[in-house]
Amino acid sequence: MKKRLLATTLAALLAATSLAACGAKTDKTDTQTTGATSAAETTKAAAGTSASTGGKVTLNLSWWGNQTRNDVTKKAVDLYMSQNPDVDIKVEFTDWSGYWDKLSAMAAGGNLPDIVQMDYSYLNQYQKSGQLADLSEFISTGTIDTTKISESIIESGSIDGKCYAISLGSNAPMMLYDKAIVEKAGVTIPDQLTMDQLYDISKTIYEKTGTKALYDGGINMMQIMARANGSHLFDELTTGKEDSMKIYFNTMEKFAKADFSISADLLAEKNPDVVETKPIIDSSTWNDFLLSNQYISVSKTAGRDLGITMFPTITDSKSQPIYLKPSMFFSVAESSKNKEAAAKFLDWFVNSTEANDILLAERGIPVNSAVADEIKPKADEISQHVFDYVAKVSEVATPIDAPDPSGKGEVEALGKTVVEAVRYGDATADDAVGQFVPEAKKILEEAGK
Amino acid sequence: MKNNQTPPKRKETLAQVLNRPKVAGYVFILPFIIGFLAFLAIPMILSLGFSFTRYNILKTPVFIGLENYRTMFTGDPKFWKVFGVTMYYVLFSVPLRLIMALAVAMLLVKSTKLSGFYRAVYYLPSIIGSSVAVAILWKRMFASDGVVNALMKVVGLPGDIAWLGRTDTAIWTLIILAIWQFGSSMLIFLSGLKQIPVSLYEAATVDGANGIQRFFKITLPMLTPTIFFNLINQLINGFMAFTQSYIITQGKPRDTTLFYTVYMYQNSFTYNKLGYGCAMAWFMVFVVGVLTLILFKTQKLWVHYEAEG
Amino acid sequence: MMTGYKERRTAITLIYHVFTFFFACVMIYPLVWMVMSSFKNTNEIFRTAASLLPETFSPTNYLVGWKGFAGYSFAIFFKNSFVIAGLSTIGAVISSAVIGYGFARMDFKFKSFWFACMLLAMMLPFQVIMIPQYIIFNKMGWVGSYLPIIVPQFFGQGFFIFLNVQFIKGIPYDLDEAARMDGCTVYSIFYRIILPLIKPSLVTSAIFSFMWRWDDFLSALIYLSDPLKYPVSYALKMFSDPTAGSDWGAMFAMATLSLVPIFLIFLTMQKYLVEGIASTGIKG
Repeated sequence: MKKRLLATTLAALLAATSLAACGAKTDKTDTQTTGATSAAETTKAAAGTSASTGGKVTLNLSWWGNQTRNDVTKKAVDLYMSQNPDVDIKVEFTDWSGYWDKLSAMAAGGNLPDIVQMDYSYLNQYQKSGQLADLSEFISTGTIDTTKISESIIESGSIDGKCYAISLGSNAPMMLYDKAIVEKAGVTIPDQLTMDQLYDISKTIYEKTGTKALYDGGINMMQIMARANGSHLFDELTTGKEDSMKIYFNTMEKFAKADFSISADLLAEKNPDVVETKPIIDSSTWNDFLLSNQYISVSKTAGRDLGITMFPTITDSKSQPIYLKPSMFFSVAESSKNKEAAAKFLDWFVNSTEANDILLAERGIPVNSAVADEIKPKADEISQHVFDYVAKVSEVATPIDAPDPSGKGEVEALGKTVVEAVRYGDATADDAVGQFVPEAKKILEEAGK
Repeated sequence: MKNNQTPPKRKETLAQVLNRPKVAGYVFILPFIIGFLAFLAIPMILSLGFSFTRYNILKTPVFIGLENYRTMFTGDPKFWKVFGVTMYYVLFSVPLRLIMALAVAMLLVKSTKLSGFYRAVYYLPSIIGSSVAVAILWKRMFASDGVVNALMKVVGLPGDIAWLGRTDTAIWTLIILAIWQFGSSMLIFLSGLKQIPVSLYEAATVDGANGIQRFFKITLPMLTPTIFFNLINQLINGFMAFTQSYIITQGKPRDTTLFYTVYMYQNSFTYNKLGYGCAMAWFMVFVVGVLTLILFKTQKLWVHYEAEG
Repeated sequence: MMTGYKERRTAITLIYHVFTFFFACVMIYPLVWMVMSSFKNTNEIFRTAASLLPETFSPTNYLVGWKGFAGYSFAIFFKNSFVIAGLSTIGAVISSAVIGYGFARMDFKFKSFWFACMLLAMMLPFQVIMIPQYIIFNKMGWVGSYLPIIVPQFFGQGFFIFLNVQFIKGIPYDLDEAARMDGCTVYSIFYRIILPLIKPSLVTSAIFSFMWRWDDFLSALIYLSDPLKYPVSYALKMFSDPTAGSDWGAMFAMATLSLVPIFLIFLTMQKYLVEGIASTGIKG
């Protein structure tokens, strides 16, 4: 009785605040307080032919980023507006973590911005809840030109065969090394190491120079391991398979026990999750792992030229694990009243040389191959390294894993916890596998509900 | 509200009605009631409601009864871990911060030419709040090559401790941060001290009481309402502490600095389990509420209100 | 223990100053480090933790930081912060004094209930009511403006209400009684007797309110969309991007600048703090 009363009350309240109807499809809320309402109505009537009606289309564009990205993106937007006087783009930018809080509040309120910057790890969950517009029709009509964009890039933003996000640039996971230290130790780093080679080289370097090594424990490494083992991380975890995780945690334990590895407490203090405090910067370690778009910041902070090699693989790997990752996407909100205009802007942002002249690969190497070739000579020397590396990877890369399932964030956090237990010597590799795999499976099951 | 009154025996003017405490009380707290009902009540009830649902913000909530609470108490070892971490933090940071604040307030209540300067300097650490700047600042202070270790070396102690990386020391960097930022409690103590009538001290001095006797006989009892306020407030603040853990340590190492609110936040937004997050929030409200209630009940025993004689 | 009124010997005064001064230096060191860091390059901040002085004093961080993002400079952000923090503070201080008086001096039905509601509001983390609150403000058409940030401040803030209650309870009832004999209503007692006597708590509220509103970025994050409306606290977050790289030097420079207004407010207000009953001469 009580329970029913509670449920009824809750339902009533939900209805009162329209929470139950917050989904994008039933959205009827007007666009905020701004004068956007009238513009939106005009375009709704005109449906894509807004230019001829003389009314202005207002688009809200939202992204996360730092000072550089904010500056160049706004500049590009201004250029677009000057070329398209009938379009008014309102920009909105914030920091990474705040961005997702805000986006979820906006989604709950039914007023997502027309164009949102999207990340690979959030794409699935926003698409599954019907927040994102299907861009396939704009691609097929040619509003978004994809002729110079590789098929795999479009696929990376697609779910169930429909495209929901256009990638703005490509990244690749990489391993960094300190050239001077490596030289001093008299070793050479090939294009791609195996884990066993990394182990031996780290040992040599430590003996010769006293510099320790970093073995990455992030979810990237898990995915690489699974891929090298011929499968995919989340495929294994959803079915509770332990194969790849056994390799992963055994390697983890082997490195954790080695005296050439950076100690667990120093690593926790450094926090490799933040670009500027990565242990390679102050030579606490001779190597580090990151994504290619972080390379510029790391080398600037380190103040020296750092060597690049591919993410290591396992001995006798079943397939090349390295992949190209969309650095970030733009998606169009399902609730947007100006999808056509938004798609046009996306096309310009991705395909026009003048836009990318301003953006200068800040979001990763341009996906349009012609544009990338034109931009490259204009980039500075450090950025050139990134261009070269991504080009090299694209020759050997295998397709990226499907967009992360819901629950990825929690699995990643669980992974960190278990990895730390191994690093601090509180768990063996077997313990870790025994804890991680079933719990991850449970999380993914829960999240799928 | 006027209807609630017993019928007046003789006709009162509106002014007289409004002057009756029962009515005037509502007139005075009316802004609170309006604000509470307009901006807080519904979100609060909703968040309580969400705690009985599976709700990922993007989809419609699904009613699941007490499932979240059951998971919290029996199926989530991390929940108890963060609860313990938070309790530990509160247990040490709150009393130490208050003692520090009171001691410095006593030091600064004395009027000298430098009082204003001292007050400013001691308050300064508190104005930087808990921004990103303080996160970097604190991490650099306690870094292996930071100033804390440098000082340790100077006095001959081992100077290579990874304060933020060791499971037994990391939480203390956050407790020390809390103590360092004692400014707000200090200010409240200062104004509380200034509210104590000079005549009391004069009388005591005439009676021949020395400094220590005056402190225990006059200052401390007269300050109890302020102490009480600071205690309640710091207790709530202690449990609600978020940014320190969120931006300085991210819970590292081994979740020994993962605060309750941070885990709650991660559940609500990073893991998209707002329903579970709400359940966690309400459990915390319950715990803090009970502690507060106990403190309010003990008020009679030790808090001295001038107004009650 | 220094609260006596006897004349003190020079020695004690000296010890007092030496101790207080030395301790003040310890307290202030991290802040000095932060100010110094605002003149360092980002990589210097992370490579040399223990050294205080920058290798060279460079104003670059201030110049780069001040220009802000995408053409919106910190001049705009500072102006916005003053509007938000200023109006909020006025609202919070006045309303909390009025409400505090009601709770402290009046006896009315359901008083404990409302007081409990107030405490409850203080205990519930903002993060969990954020989403429902957003939806309500969105329905009201307030999202995108300062209204959701400023208006609730005009309906009292738990912390300040509670602070005022404690202060008013410390004021002897005799004063109210005397005033009532003279024909004062509860309203004029509040205005003429109580308000002047709780000046320290009003000043404390004002200092805190200004500081908290100045530092608050979460409500700005949720409710504001137009960069033209962003406050400093929110803008400061945008120097850091863990996914691409941050300009910590510029962040330190602007963070240092953002402390100046709060510090000035404190300096101008703090002298009123000491004007308690003690100095106004009313005896209990």
